[in-house]
Amino acid sequence: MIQLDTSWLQHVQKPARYTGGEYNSIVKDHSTVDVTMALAFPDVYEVAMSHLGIKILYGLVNRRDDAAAERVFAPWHDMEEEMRKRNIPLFSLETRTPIKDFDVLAFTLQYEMSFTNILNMLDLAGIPMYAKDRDMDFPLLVCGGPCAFNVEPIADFFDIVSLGESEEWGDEFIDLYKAEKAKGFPGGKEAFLRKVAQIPGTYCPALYDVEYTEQGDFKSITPRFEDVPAAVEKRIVEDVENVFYPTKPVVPFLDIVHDRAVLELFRGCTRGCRFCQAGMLYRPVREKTPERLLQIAKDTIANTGYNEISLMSLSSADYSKLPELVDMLMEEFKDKQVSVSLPSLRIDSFSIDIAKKVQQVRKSGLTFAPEAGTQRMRDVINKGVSEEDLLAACTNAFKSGWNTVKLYFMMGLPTETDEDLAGIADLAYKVLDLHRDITGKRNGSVTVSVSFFVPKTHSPYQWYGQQDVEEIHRKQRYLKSLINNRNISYHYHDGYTGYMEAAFARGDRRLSEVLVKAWEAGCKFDGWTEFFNYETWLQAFADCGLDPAYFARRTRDFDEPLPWDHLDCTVSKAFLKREWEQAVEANLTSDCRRGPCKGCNVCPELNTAIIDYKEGGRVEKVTFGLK
Amino acid sequence: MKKLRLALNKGEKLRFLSHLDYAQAVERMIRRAEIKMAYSEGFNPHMKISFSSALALGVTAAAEYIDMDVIEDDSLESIIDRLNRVAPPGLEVLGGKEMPEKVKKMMAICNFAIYEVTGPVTDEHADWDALLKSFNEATEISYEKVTPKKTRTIDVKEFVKEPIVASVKDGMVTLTMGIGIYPQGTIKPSEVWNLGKDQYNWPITTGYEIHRKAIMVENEEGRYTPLEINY
Repeated sequence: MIQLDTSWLQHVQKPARYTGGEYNSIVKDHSTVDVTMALAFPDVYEVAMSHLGIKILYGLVNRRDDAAAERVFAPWHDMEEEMRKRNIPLFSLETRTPIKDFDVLAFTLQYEMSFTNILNMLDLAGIPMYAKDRDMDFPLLVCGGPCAFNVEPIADFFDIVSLGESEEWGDEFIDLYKAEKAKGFPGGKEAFLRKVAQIPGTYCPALYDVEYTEQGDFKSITPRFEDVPAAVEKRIVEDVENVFYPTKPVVPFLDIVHDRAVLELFRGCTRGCRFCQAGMLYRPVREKTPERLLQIAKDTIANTGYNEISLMSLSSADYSKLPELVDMLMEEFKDKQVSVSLPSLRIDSFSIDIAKKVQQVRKSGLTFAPEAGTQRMRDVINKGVSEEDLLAACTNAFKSGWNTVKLYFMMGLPTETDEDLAGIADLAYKVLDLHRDITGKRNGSVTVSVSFFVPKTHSPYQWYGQQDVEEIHRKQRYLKSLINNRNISYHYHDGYTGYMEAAFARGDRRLSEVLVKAWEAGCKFDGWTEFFNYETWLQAFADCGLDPAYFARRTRDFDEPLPWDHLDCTVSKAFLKREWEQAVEANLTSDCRRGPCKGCNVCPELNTAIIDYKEGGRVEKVTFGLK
Repeated sequence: MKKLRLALNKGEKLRFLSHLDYAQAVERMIRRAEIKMAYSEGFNPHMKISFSSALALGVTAAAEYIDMDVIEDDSLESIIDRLNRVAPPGLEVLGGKEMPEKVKKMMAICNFAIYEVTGPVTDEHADWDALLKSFNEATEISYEKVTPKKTRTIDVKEFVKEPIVASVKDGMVTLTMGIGIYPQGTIKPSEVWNLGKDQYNWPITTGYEIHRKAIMVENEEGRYTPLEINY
């Protein structure tokens, strides 16, 4: 166990980030288990602890008597400095065991700009970064999460990638690890990886060869062995009703970003917004019943002492039994001072009615995401929301006492013109005018927040070249010039982070070298504006003879092999291509949930179906996949 | 409704909690124990609970006290038991008593605290009685108190009236100091430690750990723990 001396620890910021001991944290004696796993999140405690995936994995592994899971997060700058000065290796929160001593080190990958933190954590742990430099004496490096669907830029660092939902995969992997460990890993690491690769949903990067053309384009990725799958299909848990759910999550002492109980209503979203990677990765929609959710909510509140429960999903207002569930929760918690919150609202009057119900007292701001300023642009991205929807939602909200509305938009979308940007300003003014018309007061406020669109893999925009940063900065200034009202505030970020994010989002294995170079030059916490250093990143690319524009800005051909083609979220490429074609024509594709199948291929490929309790549960209908 | 005054510790495992973190940990413990509490009125109802002090991050305490308004009939012993079953490691409810409905804010009446500050010595053979003598016998010691907002000069002896006592063991010294907490202010034990190092040549370093042994109410008759008084 690593000793941390109070005399210096009390002088770093928030030492409780590093000392564990929280209520519901689980401490096991490593000598009593067969497999030890460090669950890592490459960001600071307050961000990491807010993530539902870590809570699920932590509970899932620790429910087994033969395995122990502990947490490890990125130390903040001041703590890292102390650790390096004192030769303290990266350690786990539960037992302060050096990370190097765990069997498995599993990272969850949420965001490309946290990749350098992975390298920094490995360095702090004294673990060689490249997988090829590690034998079985080092922890096996596993990763999962949305970025696993294009893990190529960091594939050289990881041994095992878990695609899709991990609840079933996790148990299968631990079972295998335990059995092979007992035998002493005959044949070493490669033999073990070949066995792991037999578990559906597993990608072991070292078992594949990558080829590039003479021009330097990605050409192919092929398994080195016959028994290794050429393409890896994601895993899903069909029975989300009964899947493990963490009702005894660790209760942090520190104020974390999302400091509340979390209720996951359903997985997946089939609204089909064309910019949205999550909407493609997590299909199909699978709901839990309100009865099961009520039980989870009761247990979680009783086990944590939280006074707030958040209804979480990709689009919570789409939960088919939302009014019933909210009534059940309100009834259950009415005398217990537990409030219910809805993090995301759909843009319609119905959502406001629900919001009214749950926020009976505090009228904090409402947030909507129209995503684009004109109807044409919203049709291009298949947002399926009209100006009338937004104004109806705002009318309801303002009549009900809200005065603050936050609107999220994106900039840099395919086919976007200045007219679409002007539409953003127009919408903001319309919402503000509406507030004055309804309330007769001038205390309404609208916040317009505009992000820079990053095309992601496995979405209809995976071929689209990101717009030039300078063009984005011009557009930002243009939009700013159109907003001259002290009741409308306009927020945007510099475009450089979005540019780098885009390069890594659609990068290939050659980028691992860039990451190492950038890390060596001091890059870490790149998702934190104050620590992002654009010049250093450009230099790192240049040092490797690579151009970020090639990865971020180049429009790909439809028939060109893509470095992530073998990482299969089961939505077919033909479907994505058709969606791209529909997008440029500004044609809508309706939600398949209660309409006919649109041919995305997920249900037939995985032999599964939508689970929607408005439709009585499992929806049996004809589904197909465009090929 | 009844008002309970409880004594809780803040153990080693909770050393690095700020006052707000500690207060939140206590509230969540109360909620887990499902003790029916009185809440404030208004848009943002708060549990009616008040603390005897704001224990700083880095400081452990043998006892901290809370007054809480409970709206259920369960016995004191049972409530303490229920709390201890769901207390986080490092926090234990040590005892309590039922109070009259109207009491003074503990933060306003707790005016004396005893701290133990421990750290390595740079001279194992130092004669601490002699070293402490000039500090203990001084009638006035001025000290520049620096806060993020302003710097002002205070008289340390206004707050540290009793002699500081040292005990040395295994290369570590523990200084026990009684510190007054008055409407005009107080001094932190860490400030006394650093002052001794810088101005009185105590053979110590900037490395130390602080433990609060007691927080008390001092009145004309003497010093009492909050559980020993009835107001």
